[in-house]
Amino acid sequence: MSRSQGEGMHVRRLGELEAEIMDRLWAWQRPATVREIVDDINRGRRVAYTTVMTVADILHRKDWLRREKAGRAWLYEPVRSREEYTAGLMRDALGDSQDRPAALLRFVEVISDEDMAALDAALRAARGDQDPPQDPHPGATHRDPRRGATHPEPHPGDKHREPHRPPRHDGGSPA
Amino acid sequence: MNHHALVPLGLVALAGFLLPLLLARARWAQQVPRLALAVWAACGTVFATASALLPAQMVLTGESSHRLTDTVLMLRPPTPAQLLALDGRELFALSLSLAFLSVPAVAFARRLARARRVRVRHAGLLRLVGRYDPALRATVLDDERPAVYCLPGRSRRVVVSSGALHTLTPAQLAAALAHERAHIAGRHHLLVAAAEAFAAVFPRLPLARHGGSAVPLLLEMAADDRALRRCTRDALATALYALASGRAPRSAFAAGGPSAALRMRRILAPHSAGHPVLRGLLTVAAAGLAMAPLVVACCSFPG
Repeated sequence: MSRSQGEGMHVRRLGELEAEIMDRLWAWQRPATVREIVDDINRGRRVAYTTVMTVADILHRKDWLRREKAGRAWLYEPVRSREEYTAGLMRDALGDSQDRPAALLRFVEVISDEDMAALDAALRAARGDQDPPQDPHPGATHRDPRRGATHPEPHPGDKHREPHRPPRHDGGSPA
Repeated sequence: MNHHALVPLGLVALAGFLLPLLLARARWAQQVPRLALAVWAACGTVFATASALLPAQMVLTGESSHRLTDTVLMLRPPTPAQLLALDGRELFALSLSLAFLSVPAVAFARRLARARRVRVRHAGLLRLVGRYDPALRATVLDDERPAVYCLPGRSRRVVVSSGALHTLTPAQLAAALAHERAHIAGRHHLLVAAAEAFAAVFPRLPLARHGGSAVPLLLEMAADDRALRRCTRDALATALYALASGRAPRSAFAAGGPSAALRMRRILAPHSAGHPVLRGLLTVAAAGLAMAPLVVACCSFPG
């Protein structure tokens, strides 16, 4: 058990070190040697040159860093910017990727205009039309105008306004 | 081929056709999503098992197929000694069963493995560009588009974009996070992978077709229910609205994801008319009754 725990710690440290190395290279916006990275990390905490060299090599093999020889040392540089990686993760997160095994579970899936209008109607019905939204066309990028205001819980009478047979696509074939 | 094939045949019809058609129409399913999910999962298991037994019963002689029926109906697994005493025809039947069982099993395992690879890669990148917020117990990703999601399984974590942090009030954010933690705690990715595997292996089967679209939505509803133990209906519903409206709607993908509108209506107007649990159990029991004559037939006429 202590062994697996030790390995877990080790993996986590390596993960942190990966992030520390990438952070510096992204911030500097120029290729750098392992020596430069080690010196910079050493201002905060002790880290061995060989450890950083190993992790930089791992990052190179993972295709996150590219490198070229400068004299006797390697100069490392990120393959992509932080923003590019973030954009890739957001593509996964928003379900925009075409090939989509159920790897992530999202709070809201990609939503249609029709669904957006239905959401708007349901929320309005629950609030008893207290303050209709300024934008009659739902969807696009308008924010919920009621957000942040304090609202009472929908009272029992309201729910009878709900159309009682909502399930139009209740698990039927996607048509 | 003999009359003992009737039991697996009946179970295939029941779990693969009859119950899925009833479930897809049932109103109670969305009121008690966890019960409905249990029935879907049971249908999948029974269908896979029965469709593996069916070919075995087809090739077995009367006497040994009667023993197989006994074994299955009594849920009595064979002892190693019994397995060693199998004759040639019985061994052929056994391998036939295993081959049939392996088709959905392999598809399920491959889907899990593929999803896991995607998650490991995603988690690796998250470690580089995201930052962990101990107060939220979530990883924050710097992007103005609002998004809240989770990575289930071994590399489990909840992720929120900085856009979601700006868009949501603290109560709404807590509601969305509770929903995601419910996915992780309930290991919902396993059922999603199972539903996808069935849909890929048996594309025309009602169980796979209806289950494939019903299960993801029911999982969302189950997660909503669990989140509601920790947050108000208002917070969860408005969080749903705020996150949905913060992104560009696209009609092309409308049929894809679980319907947010259905979830929203359900969160806001929890009509617990009737006894959904009772109705659900009655549906299953009534469908199960259809099996009775087949079982009686098999037990009464050995050979």
